[in-house]
Formats: sequence, structure tokens, C-alpha cells
Amino acid sequence: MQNTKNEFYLDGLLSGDEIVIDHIYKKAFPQVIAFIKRNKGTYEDAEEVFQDALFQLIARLKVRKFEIKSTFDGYLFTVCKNLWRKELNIRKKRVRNDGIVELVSEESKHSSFILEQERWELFEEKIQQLSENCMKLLKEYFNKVPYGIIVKKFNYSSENVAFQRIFKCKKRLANLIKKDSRYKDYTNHG
Amino acid sequence: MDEEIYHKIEAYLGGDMEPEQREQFEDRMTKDIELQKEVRLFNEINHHLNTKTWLNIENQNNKSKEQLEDYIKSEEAIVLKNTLQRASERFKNSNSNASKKRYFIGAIAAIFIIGLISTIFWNQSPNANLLYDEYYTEEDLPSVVKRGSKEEQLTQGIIAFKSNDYEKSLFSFENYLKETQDNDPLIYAYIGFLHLEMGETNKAILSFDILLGSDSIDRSKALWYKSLAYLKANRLKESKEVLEIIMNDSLNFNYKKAVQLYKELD
Repeated sequence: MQNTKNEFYLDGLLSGDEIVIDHIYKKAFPQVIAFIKRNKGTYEDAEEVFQDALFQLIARLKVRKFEIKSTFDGYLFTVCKNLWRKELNIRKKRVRNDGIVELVSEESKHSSFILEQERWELFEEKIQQLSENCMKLLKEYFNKVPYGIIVKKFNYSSENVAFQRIFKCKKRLANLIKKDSRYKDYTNHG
Repeated sequence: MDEEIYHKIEAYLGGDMEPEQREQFEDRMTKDIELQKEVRLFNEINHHLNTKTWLNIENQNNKSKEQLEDYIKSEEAIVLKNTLQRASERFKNSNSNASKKRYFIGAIAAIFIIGLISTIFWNQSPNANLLYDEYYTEEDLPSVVKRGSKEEQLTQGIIAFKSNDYEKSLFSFENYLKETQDNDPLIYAYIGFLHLEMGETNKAILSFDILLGSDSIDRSKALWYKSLAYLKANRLKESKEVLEIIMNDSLNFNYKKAVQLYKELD
């Protein structure tokens, strides 16, 4: 049922069916507007992000082997959140002037993000393959929970033990990613 | 690689190295491709797990990137991009019209709520929803099955209708009408009930009116559907008015049921 629904949206997008696209706007865009407005953006920002997300989805479907494993709306919202996360980082760099923000062509902007989104999905998939403990631990660590609290929460004997565990989880994650051929494909790291 | 080197990677990425150490480490990286790859991957992992950052891909001469850009520059992609742009404008326009209407709707809603409360308190009406459930039956809907190459959309619409997938069903019917230019008014019976299920009573009435204003032999069915639509919306006065029209002619669809329902509403 889920696949049929996704196919309905994806086929509509690929064929440029205005009824389906209007339907997607009506159904999924308001949530994106709300998210971006809550996170330092405007309606115009949301408009651009949503358009880019849909356009990149079309390009990805056409060029890459790709299947949406969740719901269409859920997938689209995740992509929009990531697009906005990237945009906020670019803006932050511009303000701080602490990094060279290159002027990139429109097609390069899209192709780069598509590959970055693929990397994001691959990393997420690999995180899900870690033990529950590892997942929790990495989450706490990157949410900037102090070592002292992590030690108590996970019953470790010292901060050093906590550090070792976090490090091992990260290494395990790195190994899972390295083993996957997709990692080499989009980065040409291989 | 031994554990020691991973500690150095972490220190390097975390900016916890003294300038001299940093220089040494970077020097080592230029000579050691494996170390370079490891540092890159750990950097990517750190950025992924830190939800406030985003790491751009470094390699600009990637084959996958080229293939994507070839498509993005294609005529097909440009046409689709324009289609998306137009959808965005349509959404914006429809929303701005909606916000203008909001003031009026707000005022009307207030009046309506006051009216509704008075109706509930002063005029104990029969339970409209229960009556609707009692009188509505899918068997009263006309058959619209056709033979032809575009029949698929129509069949899809009916299947989705029967499995209560209202959005998909409405989409299939509207698409069928658009693609085939088939003006079969009976299809509007389905469209009307779909709107009704989605809480859009006025749109439902408009759809039934299309059937009612047609030459179809089944046009009197639209009267019955309208009376049910008003009933579902708890607009009992209007429901009764339509039932009275049905009762004027015993040849009208569901004449007997109309008489019975009218009595229950009276």
C-alpha cells in the first residue's frame, strides 16, 4: 500500500503531472514552511527549499538507482530539513567569514546535495546497524552531554572508559560505512 | 592502524592539537593516503552526528556528479523545473486568496457557531449522522464502468473509492475527466460523495448539481444525494427542502425512502 502511494507521487512528479504536484504542495509544503520559519527562515526560503527538494528528487529518480523506503511525505520532509541545515551552515560561514564560500553553478548545487543526501542516508542506515547502546551513546555525546553525566547514565567506571566506548562505537560505524560500496561510489574515495 | 592514531585523528578534528603537532600530523597525512581517507571519514561521521552542521562533498570531479549534472541541464529537466515553479506560484496564490477569505469566514463561523448552539439547545433535532449512515448505501451509486483505453483511471477511482482511499480516488476521477474529456455526469456522483467524505459539503453539492443539471436518465439520483449531503452536514432544513422536491414525483429515485426520511426529520 505504501509503495503504491509512493509510486503515485513519484510517477506524477516524473511526468510533470500538475494535479499530483499541486497535491504534493497541499499535503507536504505547510509542514516545511512551519519548520523553516521555526528555524530562522522565511516563507521564501521554504519555497526555495521545497522546490529544490522536489527537483532533486526528480533528478535522483532519473539518474540514480533509488527507492523511498519510508512514506513519501516523510522522505520529502527529511530532505528539506537537510537542505535547510546545509543552507544555514552556508549562511553562518558567510556571516563569520571563516570559510571560503564558493559561487557554485545551479547544476553543481543540485548534484552536490543529491550526493550529500545519499551519504546522509547511507550513514543513517549504518547507524541503525549499531547496537542500541552504541546508538544512544553517540547521540548523547553529540548532543554535548558532559562526560560526567554519560558516565552515570551508562554506569561506566570513569570518564576515560566513557571516552573509550564512544570511540569504539565510532570506529565500528566507520568500518560499516567503509565496507559499503556506495560510499566509494559517491565520494570516489576508493 | 593502531589505536594511538585514532586518538590523534580525534584530536586533529576536534582542534585539540598544538600548532606544531598539527603541522606534523598534516605532513604525515600528505604522505599517507590511508590516513587521509580515515581522517576524511571520521570528519564526515562527526558532521553527520552533529545535527547542526553539514559537510559538503569534496570531490568535484566525480562521475556520478557529472551524470546528475547532464540530466539537470537537459531540456526535460528544465521543463519539469518550470512545472514545479508554476505549482509553487499556484500554491502561493491559493493561500493568499484563502487568507483574504479568512476574515469573512471567521465572522461567518462565529455566527454559524452561535446558530448551531441555539439549534442544539432550543431545537432537539434527530441525530443527522445516524440517519445518514442509515440511509446512505453504496448500492445507490450509479455504474460508470466503460470500455476504452482510458478506463484504467476510472476503475482505479472506483477501487480507491470502495477502499475509502478518498484522495487517490478523487485524483483518479479528476484525471480521467481531464484526460478523456468525457463529460459523463454520473462520475460527479462519486466526486460528490468523495468531497462529502472529506468534509467539503459545498463542493459535494456543486458536484451533485452537475448531475442534476444534465440530461442523464439518472439525474433524479442527484436529488437524493443532495438530501443526504445536507443531512450529513446537519443542514436539516435544506435536506428537507430537497426531499420535498423528490416527493413531488413518485418516479423520482428513492421516492419511498425520501418520504420515510422526511417523516423522520419532521
